[in-house]
Amino acid sequence: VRSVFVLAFTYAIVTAGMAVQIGFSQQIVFSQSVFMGVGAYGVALLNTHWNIPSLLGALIVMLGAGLVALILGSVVTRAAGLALAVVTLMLPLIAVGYISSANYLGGSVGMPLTSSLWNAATPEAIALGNGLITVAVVGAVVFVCSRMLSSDIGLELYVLGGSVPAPTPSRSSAGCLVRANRGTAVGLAYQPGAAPGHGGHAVQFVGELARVDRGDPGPVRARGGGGGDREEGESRRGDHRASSIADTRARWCFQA
Amino acid sequence: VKFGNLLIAGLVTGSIYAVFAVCVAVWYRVSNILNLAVGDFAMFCALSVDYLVRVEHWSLAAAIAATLAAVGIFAAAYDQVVLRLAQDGPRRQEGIVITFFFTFALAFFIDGVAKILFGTQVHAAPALWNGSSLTFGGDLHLERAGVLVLGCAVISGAMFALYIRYTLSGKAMAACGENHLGARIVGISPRQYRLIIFLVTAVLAAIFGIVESPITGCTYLSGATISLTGFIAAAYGGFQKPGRALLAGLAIGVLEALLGGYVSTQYGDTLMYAILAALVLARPRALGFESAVGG
Repeated sequence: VRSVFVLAFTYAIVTAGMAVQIGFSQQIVFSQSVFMGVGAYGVALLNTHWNIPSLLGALIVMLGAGLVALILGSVVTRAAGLALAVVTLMLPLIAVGYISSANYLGGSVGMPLTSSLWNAATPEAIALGNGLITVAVVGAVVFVCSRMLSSDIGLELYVLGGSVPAPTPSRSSAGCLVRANRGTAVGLAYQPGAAPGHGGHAVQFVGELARVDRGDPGPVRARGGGGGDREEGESRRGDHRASSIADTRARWCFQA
Repeated sequence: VKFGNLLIAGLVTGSIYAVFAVCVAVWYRVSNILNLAVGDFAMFCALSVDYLVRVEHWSLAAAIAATLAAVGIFAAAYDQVVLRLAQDGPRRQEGIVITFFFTFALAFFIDGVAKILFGTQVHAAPALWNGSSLTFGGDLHLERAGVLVLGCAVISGAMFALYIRYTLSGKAMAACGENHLGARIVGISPRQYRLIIFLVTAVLAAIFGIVESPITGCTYLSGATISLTGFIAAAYGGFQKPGRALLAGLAIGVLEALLGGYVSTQYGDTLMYAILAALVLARPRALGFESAVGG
């Protein structure tokens, strides 16, 4: 029950960001999973290396993720449409390639998370606390997104997304800052993408997904991608392929 | 010698990218939809042939024929049931979201079916050309399956490029994607071309899955990776030009091999994707993203 609950709300948080990006401004961006990784690895790093409690770590990482989203958004929005989709499709590939070879992040195995978001005496109380935090994050994300979309920024994003039929020059001459608003849309979409990585207990969610892929009951781990089907006797090339395939599947699951 | 072997390895890998890029590009040209399930057809066919030969003890030829027939029938059924309703109904749907998501669900469906039927282990279709690797100039090596892969890529890419450029039906096919309504007004049937090309690319991907799986191995999750590499290579070919998609696929494969061989084995892929992303950001128009760049 806990797993289903966490999954549902984790998807809800990511979907809130994607609704801004894909549904409202009609820009396809494929890198929400990168920000889930930022959230998951960020909290795990703060937790294991500096003994910062997960809840405080989550707040710190949320701020950091917002900053990264701003910088990344300002770069990738040089492109639009299919070009933007292709560029942002590369970001998970770059992130997974880097993380799976970075020893300080646990390489392809992942990082252990030593404490839960909400600490309590019984597993039921921990699950309840984590669930309530997840609900609070979902509510906050939906509130912020809906407030921004009902403002002038939302109106410009609506025009940018083609809901009002007008070519780009017309949108620009009407005062719609096309590129700036594309950046806003990307930033809005990325930030909630980061939230489930820490606030929504997604370190466990991602870890469980990886564990299901590998078929072994390992400890809870933070992973930016996924696991892989490892079979005895497969070639090195096949092993690499299986791993990258699983990573890709995990990414696509997130993107969906 | 090292450069030569890396070049050969890169060309073989690039050929895999190239064929799927060609399939993506050709169908996009006619339907304006990206076929993200193209790799899943390849995966399904490779695993199916392996299963029929290894477990059911069918002959290789019979297994291939039965699997290709099944893929063809399924592709036709998907076009008639899903794409026809979405594209030919009174409310034809267009836009960048539709471009991606029509075949996304299909990819997941095929993956799920493959997992139930063939399990999760790594398998490969039997090699069509058995034997030790071929040797050139003393120290240059090329696997026999690699020759087939390379040949398959060049033939399919050239075939589609020539078809679109020099035949009347090829031009009609291109017209369907450029102006759907205009094509219908002058008597071209976009529905028919969409069905034919979807079926042909699905079967071509399936054949290529059989040819290339002895090199890479295959699981029920392989389709996503294959489609992804095809999509990226097709993007650098401008999405609509099979000839350019072929060259882009080969170039990406060679770049990947050279970066892995000379710069970093660990971070070769990461570097390559960073370079490709930077290229799109720096020169989107030059790379053929004209229709994608909105301002």
